[in-house]
Amino acid sequence: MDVEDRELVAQAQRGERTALDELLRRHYDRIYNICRRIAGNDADAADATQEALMAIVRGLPKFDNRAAFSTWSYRVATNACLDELRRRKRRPTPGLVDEHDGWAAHQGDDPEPAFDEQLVVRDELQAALNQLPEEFRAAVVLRDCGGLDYAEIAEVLGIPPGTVRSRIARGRAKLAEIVDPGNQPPGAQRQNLQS
Amino acid sequence: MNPLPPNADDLVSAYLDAEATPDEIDVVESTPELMARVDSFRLVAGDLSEPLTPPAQQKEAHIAAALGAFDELLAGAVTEEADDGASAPSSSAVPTKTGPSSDTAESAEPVSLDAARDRRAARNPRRFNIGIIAAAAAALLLFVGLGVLSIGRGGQSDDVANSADAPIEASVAESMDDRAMDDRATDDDATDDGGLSEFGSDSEAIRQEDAASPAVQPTAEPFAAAEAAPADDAMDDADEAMDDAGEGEITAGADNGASDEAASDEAMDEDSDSLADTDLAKSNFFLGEFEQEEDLQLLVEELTADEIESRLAIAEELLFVRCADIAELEQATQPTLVGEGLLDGADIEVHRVDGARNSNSFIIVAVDGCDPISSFP
Repeated sequence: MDVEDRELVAQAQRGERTALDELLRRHYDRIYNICRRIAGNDADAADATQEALMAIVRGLPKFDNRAAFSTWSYRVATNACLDELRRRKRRPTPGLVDEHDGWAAHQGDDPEPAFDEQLVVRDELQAALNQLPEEFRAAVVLRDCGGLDYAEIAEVLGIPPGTVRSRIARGRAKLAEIVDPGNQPPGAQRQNLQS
Repeated sequence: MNPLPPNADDLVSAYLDAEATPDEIDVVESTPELMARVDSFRLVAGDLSEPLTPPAQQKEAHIAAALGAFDELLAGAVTEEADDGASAPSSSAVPTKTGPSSDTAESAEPVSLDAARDRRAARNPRRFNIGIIAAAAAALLLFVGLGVLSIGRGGQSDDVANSADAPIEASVAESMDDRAMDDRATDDDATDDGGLSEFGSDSEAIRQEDAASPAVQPTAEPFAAAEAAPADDAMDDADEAMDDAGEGEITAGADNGASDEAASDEAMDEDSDSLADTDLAKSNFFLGEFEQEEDLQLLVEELTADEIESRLAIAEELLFVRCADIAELEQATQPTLVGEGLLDGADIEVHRVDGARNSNSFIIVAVDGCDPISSFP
């Protein structure tokens, strides 16, 4: 796959439109999935995916194959998504739940989500994912949706692999707890065991 | 029963991802509670990995838009090459439809999108370039030496000496620009330009001259292997500027001129060198004013590794970093500030986010509130 990607990248860099078309089609679904999971709703995911593709086209001339194209494109997509989230933060939307204040904001008395929010957050897992802070969400999504290993995620997010490991673990623990409230983290289990 | 390790979730998660060490695997597999946790995490990971199908219409629209942007870049490249004519015959390839190739990017010919990027880069403010500035400094030193030698010869009128100043200085300045511009410089070019009387003494003059000649920017690196050449290019620029300064010496010898006034000016220049260097570094650290994030991002992405390192060093030594404590930089172990600028009228900083491997990622931060604006690439 990567070898073929390299060929397509080289051809696209020489101006071959069909090569770029193939490259984008090959990776579109994965990029979309990453954007959809990180952005948390269809509208932002669409914007982020579009921006990611544009950024890939703009950045292709500088892409030098030091990383796999897939890794690089996911990095671009992740940054596009995080940028989209930042833009959304800067334009407050009255009546909607702020999904991005971290999980502390979602303890207890959340207001009833607006109708369009209910439409946007379609599934329970996505709703849980939306409660994770962005940096944790991105790490989990890149691992489980993108299939990247810890080193690749570290490269994408610009953080050490040890931090990636920690963020994924904490993110998954929180997701497990949100999806199934009876799912106690090991800390709680440890306390129970020791008591 | 053994107590669970404090980092149990870390172990479980790493185990699930096949990223655990053999010792960690033993711990997890020998602890039923942890294996139960593995199952719990596996369910979450499995659900997340279920692919979401993008709307087909949206997918086609997105790809079409991206290809449209690609076409625009190519069209821009063609226009640029037509404008350039024969002046830079080998700097960028005309977009061609080539057959399937096994070439990798490293071996590819200079690609057709180069010219478009150069054109956009030319619209951006001049960026800091240590190579050019070093060449200017070297040329200036030669010029000062020339002045001293000429004074030693003496016997010439002020009028003659003064008339010699502008051509020589212009020759030095012009030569650097022209060498960088496809080696098209001629002696006539230099003598036709009498400006830059403050060259060498006023950092702003250098900066403005740089800004006025965007084609000097070494932004035309081929896509592939683009990072390898800049340091050598800078050295070449310096060497060529030294050569041209030598040519200027010949001209001065022919004119037999340098006045006491000129010598005095040069002495003042030397006195203010260190301060000027600092001001120059600071002023060139400023990336410019931008209306679009994209333009700023392009400029930063085109900085060479050497330029980035120079900027990081300047920031560390000379500048106060206002937004170093943001979450995105919490893991930074080195200086991160690459540049400052104005984006849509607001002060911004551009920081490098350390990559785990040999790649750079950047973040634009609004100084007011230190809010991240965007990350790229």
